Amino acid sequence: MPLKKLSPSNTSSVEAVKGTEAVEAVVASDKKANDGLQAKINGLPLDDIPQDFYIHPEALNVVLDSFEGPMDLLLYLVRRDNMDVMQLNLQRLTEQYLQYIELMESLQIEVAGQYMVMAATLAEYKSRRLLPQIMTEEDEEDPTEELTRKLKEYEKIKQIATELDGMPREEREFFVATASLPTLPAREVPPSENKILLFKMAKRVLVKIDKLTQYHTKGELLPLNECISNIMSRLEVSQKNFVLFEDICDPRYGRHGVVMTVLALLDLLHKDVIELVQTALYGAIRIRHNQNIKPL
Amino acid sequence: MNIKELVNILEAALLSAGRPLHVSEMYKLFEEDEKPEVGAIEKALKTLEDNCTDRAMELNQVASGYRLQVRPLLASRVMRLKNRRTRSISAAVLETITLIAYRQPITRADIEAVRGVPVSHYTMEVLQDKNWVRVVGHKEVAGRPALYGTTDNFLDYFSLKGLEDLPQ
Repeated sequence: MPLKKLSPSNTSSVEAVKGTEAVEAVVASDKKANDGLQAKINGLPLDDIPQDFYIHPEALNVVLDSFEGPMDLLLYLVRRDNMDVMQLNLQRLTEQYLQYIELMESLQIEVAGQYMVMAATLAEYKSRRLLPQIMTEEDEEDPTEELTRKLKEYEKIKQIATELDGMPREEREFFVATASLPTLPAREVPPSENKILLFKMAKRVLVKIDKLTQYHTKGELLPLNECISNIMSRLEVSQKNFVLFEDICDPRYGRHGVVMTVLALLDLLHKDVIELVQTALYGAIRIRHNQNIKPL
Repeated sequence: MNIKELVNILEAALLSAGRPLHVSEMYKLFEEDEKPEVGAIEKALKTLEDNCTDRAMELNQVASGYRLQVRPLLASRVMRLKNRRTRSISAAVLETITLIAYRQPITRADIEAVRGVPVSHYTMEVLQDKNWVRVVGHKEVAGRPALYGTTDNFLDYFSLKGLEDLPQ
């Protein structure tokens, strides 16, 4: 479940006691030590989270954004305090991060495992700085630098992702123009050479697969897209410019895998991306890029 | 075959193909004895583009080839007829595809290292359903993890000709 983000608080007193404002009061009291501001409810100072305090997790969904992960949270903390990413105060950042995690837990919001991993990592960074500098064999990066580098990298990715989201795209800024074809008279088309070869290959492999599957396990289902992807990448990586059906068929998926591979090959044949070649009678059938189309 | 016929044939092909077409594929529209000479198709495409100036669609070139598209100015109006709002792409999917696009080939572990969260099965499923990612190879380390890269389909979706057209 994504971690919830609290809206930045700049209030020092809270009048109404509604779920979200009460939470703001808690955050304000968070900063009490730093700002000298005191949170108040109905005129009385608020120091601790009330014992019977409960916000249904769903209620927070409406008001709050959610973080993508611990990196996102860290970035938020850095920005909230106007810390310069280049001049991180690891100590302060770690404290705030841990406080935040504690806050989430006290509000009974489940914190996903990766946030704990980050908390542990930050604690480890802190400890590294406390220990005397031991010359290790590996060149260990300074923790602050390492964190800064990671944060900068993540920040950049987030920025570009947002830019990408803003770019014109299909089904939003533009639509693809299509026109339907008139109904054409049905033509008897004999199966192409390619398809005949394909079914010959499939038959051979089906027989072999049955022999290989000695034990009955519940096979995983192989999605068509993945199958097509696999075939194309095998072709690209292959040094001989062709692959054999036996190479691309994974016995793990058994008969289902063979069927999916046949479907994938049919799809690629249909798009004229590949062709099948058999050089000798009863010889191996090779799958290769369609030679008729000039690769672009 | 005169230029007008050629332009018509190309327009028909582009409208009915259901996907962008490369010039080399357009040659397949013709029998041996009527194949257009070198450069004729490109000229015809230019004519088609000019013909569309006052029309609702425009000719655009994307990674997978040429495609006819509804002009962006009219898109919002057309959207009114669409029943469901196009679901926006989640931040997780966006960040993941951004990483793959800029750092390809890249493994799942590398993606996780930058984002700090594991690549969810759902995210990869979405990306594969949209046909935006593909396996380009395997990293020669223990476990031989898959290396991912983007497809031309991904570029087509954002109306880009190549990876260099992505934002910096």
